[in-house]
Amino acid sequence: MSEPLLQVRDLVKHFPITRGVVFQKQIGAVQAVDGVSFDLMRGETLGLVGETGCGKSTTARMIARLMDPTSGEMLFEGQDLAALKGRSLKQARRDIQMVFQDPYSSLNPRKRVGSIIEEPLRIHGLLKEGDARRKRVQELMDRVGLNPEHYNRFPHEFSGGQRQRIGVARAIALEPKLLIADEPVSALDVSIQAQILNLLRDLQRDMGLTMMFIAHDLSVVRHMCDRVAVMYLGKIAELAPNEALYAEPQHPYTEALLAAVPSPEPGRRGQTSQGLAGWFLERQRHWPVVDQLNIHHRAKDSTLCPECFAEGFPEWLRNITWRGRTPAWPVALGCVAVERELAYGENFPLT
Amino acid sequence: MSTGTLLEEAFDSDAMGRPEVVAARTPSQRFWRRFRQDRVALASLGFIVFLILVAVFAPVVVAIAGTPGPNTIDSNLLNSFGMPTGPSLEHPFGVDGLGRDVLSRTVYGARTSLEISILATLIATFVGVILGMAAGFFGGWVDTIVSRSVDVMLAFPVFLLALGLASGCSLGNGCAGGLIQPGISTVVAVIALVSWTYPARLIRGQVLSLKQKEFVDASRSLGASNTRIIFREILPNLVVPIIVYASLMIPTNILLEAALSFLGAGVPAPTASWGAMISDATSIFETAWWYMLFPGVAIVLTALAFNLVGDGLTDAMNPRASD
Ligand SMILES: Nc1ncnc2c1ncn2[C@@H]1O[C@H](COP(=O)(O)OP(=O)(O)O)[C@@H](O)[C@H]1O
Ligand SMILES: [Mg+2]
Repeated sequence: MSEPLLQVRDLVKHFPITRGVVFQKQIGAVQAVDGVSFDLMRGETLGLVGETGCGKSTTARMIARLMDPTSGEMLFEGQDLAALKGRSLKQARRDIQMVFQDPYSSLNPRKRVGSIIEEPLRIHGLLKEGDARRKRVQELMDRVGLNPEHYNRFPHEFSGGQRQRIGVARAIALEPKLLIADEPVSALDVSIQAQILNLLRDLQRDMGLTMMFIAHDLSVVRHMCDRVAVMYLGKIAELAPNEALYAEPQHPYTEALLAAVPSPEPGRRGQTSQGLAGWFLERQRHWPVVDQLNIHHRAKDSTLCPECFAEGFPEWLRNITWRGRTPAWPVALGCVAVERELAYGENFPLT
Repeated sequence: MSTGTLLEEAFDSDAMGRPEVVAARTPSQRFWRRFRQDRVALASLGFIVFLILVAVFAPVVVAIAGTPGPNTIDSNLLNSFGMPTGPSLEHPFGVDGLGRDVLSRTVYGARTSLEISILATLIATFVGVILGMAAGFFGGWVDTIVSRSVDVMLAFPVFLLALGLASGCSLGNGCAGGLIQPGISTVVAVIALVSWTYPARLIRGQVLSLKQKEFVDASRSLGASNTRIIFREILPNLVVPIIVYASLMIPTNILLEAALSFLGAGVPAPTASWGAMISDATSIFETAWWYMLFPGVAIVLTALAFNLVGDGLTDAMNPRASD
């Protein structure tokens, strides 16, 4: 718990934006990950939280070497992952495994479940082909709560939750040291989510896994993680132990995320249903950190907090345009339509 | 994927008392099931099987029909003006300008037509799939080369190219350093050369979308090599589109072969070919309609049957209504 398994330093990923078909010209870059640093301690579970598009998956994919970083270091047991090639890379992959977000696209529809779970053993030439491997596959299926008799079935014969279990079985087949779970439950029914979370937590405990757990809202992370990193527009806004983060959020964005966590008690619904909209209204002092990208993104992303927008997104908030950092929205003045600008520090009109 | 699986599944789910599993099928099982429900396509498939049998057993068919061989010239069958005689009991399809039996030549023509179109389709599909997969998977300069070659091929007057190549290669020692000999292989090579572009483009597009799937990432993070990902993860998902596309290329290639033969750039005489028969028939069409009719009907029916099967397979792959 004391010594770091993974040290990430100034990790950057820029995706070029190009124009043109034959002669491509770079006209800009999406700064998906923009200087991320953190340590992952052996045996801990680190949450990585932030809204969709803030660079969580990109960070995870770089660590899992599915994508090369633009710059930065990822030291895994002291060895820079970014520099690994060929045989040593293949060896390192055994130690870092991933559970993916979409249980439908993460399993090849043409392969039987047994073969999907056996694949890692086959790739690394572990165990003898035939009975030994099948036994191991069935053990793994049993371990993740699947009926081992079903190894001969195809992925489409399983439900979303069962499919995610298959993905977990595949990821732990090589007994990795680090397991990266990229929003492993966000595609699942709420009723199934807890089962998968419990499975991951049990595995983490029993196998002594170090885990990086990605989510887009804090409610999922709350019961999973030792520490939580809040990511915002490609950077880590705040990294704190779980309780501290909930008790005393340091960054306004963390507060926003906390405000978006739906309250389980019906009595408090009224309060939280203001959710994001309410947060916007009350927190004008934070406008300098909530820039255009964020509010536009948020305005579209009603999945982040369905309850926040149960009564519809306020029309004026939807129509906000930006003049530099100053929000403006159309209002009717008599029969003339004009733009209303919000001065810094001014309150949004509560209508 | 096999019938064995289906049975196994049904058995298994019965034992488990889980009826919903019985309905579960792999995508390819659903594909074949939908195809089997398409009567027109099935009838066409029946016709194609019949045609293939006729082509393979052409000597037997001719023997049963009691007609002379396809290249037997019998000038006694021409009338006193030197013109061919029409359909009769001995020669149901009549005879041609040289006194050869049209039925026999039509039957042997099926051989030429199917052999060339199927071989050319196999080669073009193979080449197109390999290049399309490489282009879609690796992107970058590989994609640039393949895609630009496809663009150039598609902008080419392919028919003129085919004619030029076909006549160039059908002289003496063939072309491409003797690799392509005059005769059937020339025609096959020419047709394959002009038709690999279509599967290449199709497969490239499919690979581009498959490459985005998380199971490819999963396989890579497990340590799989590119080769393994391409052949073990991606290719199995391309089997159905490849079958569908190849089935649609065959009729196109049948027509292409007929057209090349019609223009004198097909298989060399005296090999029977439907296109060449129609070409020969044009000069004596006024008196010998049968010489053009029967090979013409054969071309239309064959191309139609293949197209209907191809359409059936396409529908089975992309069902408009859910089943
Ligand atoms: N392959 C890519 N090419 C271009 N832009 C990308 C690519 N992958 C991700 N992005 C962009 O990078 C940003 C971060 O994406 P991602 O890491 O997937 O976010 P998250 O997982 O937090 O939702 C997004 O704006 C996304 O559009
Ligand atoms: Mg993501």
